[in-house]
Amino acid sequence: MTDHLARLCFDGPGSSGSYTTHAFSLRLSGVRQPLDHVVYLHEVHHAALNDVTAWGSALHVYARLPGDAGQQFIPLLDACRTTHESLATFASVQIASARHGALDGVLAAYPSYVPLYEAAVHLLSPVQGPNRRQLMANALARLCMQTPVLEEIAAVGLGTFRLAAIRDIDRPDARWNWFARQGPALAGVAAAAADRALVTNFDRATLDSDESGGDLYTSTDRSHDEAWDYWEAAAYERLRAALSAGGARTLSFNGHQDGSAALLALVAAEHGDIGLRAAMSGEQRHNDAALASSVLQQVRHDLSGGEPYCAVLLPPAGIAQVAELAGGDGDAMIVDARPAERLAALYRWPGEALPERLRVPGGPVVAVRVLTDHREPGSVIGHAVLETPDDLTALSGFWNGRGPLAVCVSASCLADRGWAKRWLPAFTSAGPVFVLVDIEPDRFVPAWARDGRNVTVVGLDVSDTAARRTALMFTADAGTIWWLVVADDVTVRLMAEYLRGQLGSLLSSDAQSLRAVRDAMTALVSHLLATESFTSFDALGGGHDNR
Amino acid sequence: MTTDELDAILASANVKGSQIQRTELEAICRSVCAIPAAEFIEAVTQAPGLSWDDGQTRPAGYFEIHSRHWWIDMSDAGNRQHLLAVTTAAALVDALRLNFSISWVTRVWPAVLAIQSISRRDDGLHLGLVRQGVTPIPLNLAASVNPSDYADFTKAVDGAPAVLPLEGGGTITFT
Repeated sequence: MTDHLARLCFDGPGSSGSYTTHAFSLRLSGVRQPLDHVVYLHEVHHAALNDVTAWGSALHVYARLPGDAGQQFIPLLDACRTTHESLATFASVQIASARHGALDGVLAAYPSYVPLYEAAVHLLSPVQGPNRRQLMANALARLCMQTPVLEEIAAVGLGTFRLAAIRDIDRPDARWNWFARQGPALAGVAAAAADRALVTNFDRATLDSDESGGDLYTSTDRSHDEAWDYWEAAAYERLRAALSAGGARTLSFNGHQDGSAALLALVAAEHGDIGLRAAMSGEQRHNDAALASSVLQQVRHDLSGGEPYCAVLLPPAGIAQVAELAGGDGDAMIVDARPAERLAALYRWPGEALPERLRVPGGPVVAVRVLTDHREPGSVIGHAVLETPDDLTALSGFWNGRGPLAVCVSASCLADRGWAKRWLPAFTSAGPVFVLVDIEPDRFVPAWARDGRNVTVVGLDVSDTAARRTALMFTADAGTIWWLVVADDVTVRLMAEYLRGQLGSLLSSDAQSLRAVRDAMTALVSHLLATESFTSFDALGGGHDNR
Repeated sequence: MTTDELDAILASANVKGSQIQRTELEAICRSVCAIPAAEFIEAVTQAPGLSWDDGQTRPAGYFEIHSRHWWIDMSDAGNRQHLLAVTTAAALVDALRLNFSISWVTRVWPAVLAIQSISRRDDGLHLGLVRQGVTPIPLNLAASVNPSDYADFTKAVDGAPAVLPLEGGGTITFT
């Protein structure tokens, strides 16, 4: 999987991150792109490793089990931290290096990870070629996570299972340490065996594409996919034989699949739907659009520097007063629409609860955001609610073209068709309409492809004094409505890759097409960076919990 | 087990000061075993009193990449006891050629062995350990320690020669 992520990262044009089994969250500074890429890829690898292993399946399940049944999550997690962090650190630096050149000092900002990286580099040192080192790291970590844990859970039941059922050598970190004690020679032996297997069964060109000091981009060309899969599986089997001889009970490369299916059946029988996504198939892992979609489902970009922004509901006011408040020190008016549940996640409200007035059954909330003082830390974002489409029409009249007036509707709002039908005429009359993409693109792009709609896409770099962000705009109706992604360059590239994969020749790029809405778009992106606590694609479920 | 015995270990590794970080832990590891220091440090950093430069603790429940530094406050009795336990475990794993991780042995050995003495001589560290006889898995370990592993460990300890050499030049003596 990582080879495709590598290509998505380097194909075409003080950060931190965290990963749970639900999703990963990124706080990217936007100042040093190589660093941001390392952090992004680091978290992606946590997700990737869990999605293809037995231990990862157990983590996915126990993280979601309610009450006492979920208590084994932390022991399970603590037993695989070193394996996870070693792979994520090694792979992220290697892939980012392929894009940015040598990144020897990049981990200086993350001192706790330097020893993990150095240990992995040492362990993999006999393996020739950057792609083979990457694949060997994957194989090692995968083997550490492919333990009989699912079998043991099935034997005693979800609620009864304890870590004591698993022998030490069958726990991921004990295995990783076991390999570290063996030293680098074992990885060299496994690589040599995999090399021989590859040239016996495939064209030698694949092996030649991955020379020492070579280019990761060349070696991960799509034409080599099958051969490299074979290489990784062969290396895995060689490592597996050594670990088995050391007393471990190992699983085959995809030996988690039956156990995962049985575990999911057990979970469904005992707890119903706990919100687990289906894992990608092997075929999907070679499809860049499917891979991009999988990552997008799990990523969250933190724009507020940690805690969500504070927000308050402003008391009901006349429309003229709203116009004055919102336009007080600015030259643009942005009207936002978000579902109430999304507003609850986006902001810290007084009393840690969404105001009762916003929890109305009438659909998403339309409001104008008023920054009390955006220069001050801890500033509060006031929300002046527009109750009806007529309020928006009146607001537009009061605004009277003083500057751009734009409407920013999150895509999750449009799932409420009755609400959308009621509000859309007022939105389109008021000014340019932008749809902030906060749902998985799988929910709407395939329909565009089926309908044969031509889609125009434009990428934008957004720089302010502190950071650099990236945005992607696309329209499927010649600019009547623009869909908008605000994130970092990796997410934007993944979204562009997804659109390319789904739409093919229906997709074109035309920067000039933005001309009519450029001022409104500029104001909107600044507005979102200042007032939206985060962006993600899970507003209609999946992905993040909002603890 | 008293943490005063740690002083001999610290002296043997030439570690001084009230704050211990990675470099000092590497030296302690080398003084008792040939196992890669990363595993030793991993076991030590599970210490109850691990300190971070922003006052936070190790993230629970999720993986995180961050920029914080950690250290171990050696004025804390719990930290000293944990470091002593990990160091003893590392010595046991290496001397007995055990397949168990240092973290695992750290939790288990106090149920099977007791420290009689730790001394530093010119030729290295000398650990005197007393076998406690056949003991069941302590209740506090029952949820995390596999019974077969526990049986294998006790068997290895019971069957160990009276004196085993340590990597750093000293010995472990079992009585």
